[in-house]
Amino acid sequence: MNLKRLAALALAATFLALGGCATNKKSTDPIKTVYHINNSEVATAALGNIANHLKADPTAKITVVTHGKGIDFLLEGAADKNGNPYNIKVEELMAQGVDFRVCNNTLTSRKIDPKQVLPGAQIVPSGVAELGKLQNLEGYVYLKP
Amino acid sequence: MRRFIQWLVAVVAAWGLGSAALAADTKVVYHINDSAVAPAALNNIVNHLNADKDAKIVVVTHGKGIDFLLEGAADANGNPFNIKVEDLMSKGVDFRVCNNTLTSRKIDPKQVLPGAQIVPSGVAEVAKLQAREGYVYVKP
Repeated sequence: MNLKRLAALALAATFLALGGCATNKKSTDPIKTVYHINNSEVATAALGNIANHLKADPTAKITVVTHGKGIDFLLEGAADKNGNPYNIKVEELMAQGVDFRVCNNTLTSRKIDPKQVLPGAQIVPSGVAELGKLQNLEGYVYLKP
Repeated sequence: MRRFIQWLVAVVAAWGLGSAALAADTKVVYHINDSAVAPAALNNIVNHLNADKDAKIVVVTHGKGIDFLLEGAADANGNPFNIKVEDLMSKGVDFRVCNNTLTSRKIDPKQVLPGAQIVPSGVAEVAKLQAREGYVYVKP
């Protein structure tokens, strides 16, 4: 093998290795987790889980993706079965850096006015596509409460 | 220069082979937050190991999902869980229980089956196993 071919091979191998490296998160990077909620019955437990998660790992980045019946707790005036409004806990978590995302396909199919969504929650085109994107392109791990 | 390039190729090749070897065994975290699914989940894990005997399986429980790992716990038909759990433990399956749950539900840690490990936070454990230890996620 001549020197030029060797050099080209080494370069290609290095790029491949670096590419692999880029997808392997460094052990010091904050852990990013997407919470998937498609049923608001688990919302109370999920909000408690997230509060505990942040206590155990204060640098964790948490994004909550909701669709279907999972968006209800992010609508104005929503309350749990004991009548406690969700927005207080949601806003507390937002203040700690937690993102809440609501599926626009759900808003459309259920004929819900986007203005009903809590301020600060972000509307995304598709909840399930968002779950895929966060894991595939942004290095998130998945958790379904 | 030529020697350096040969060395570089060898290092990179070894690195690639090392990664491939690491990728050989599948590591799976089973997430259980409701013990109603525990009988099915334990069977899933048995079947999982039958299909892939080298799989490393860790079961992380919190909330209502810890109940089947407490002393004396039995399924809806009165069958004790501990026999199947201990059988799986002997096959290398790890069971982990959330300490936040023990605290909030005022459950004595001594009630947790021997061999099950108590971790500070179940959800943080589920995330850590995936992000830091290469586990993939299953929710039975």
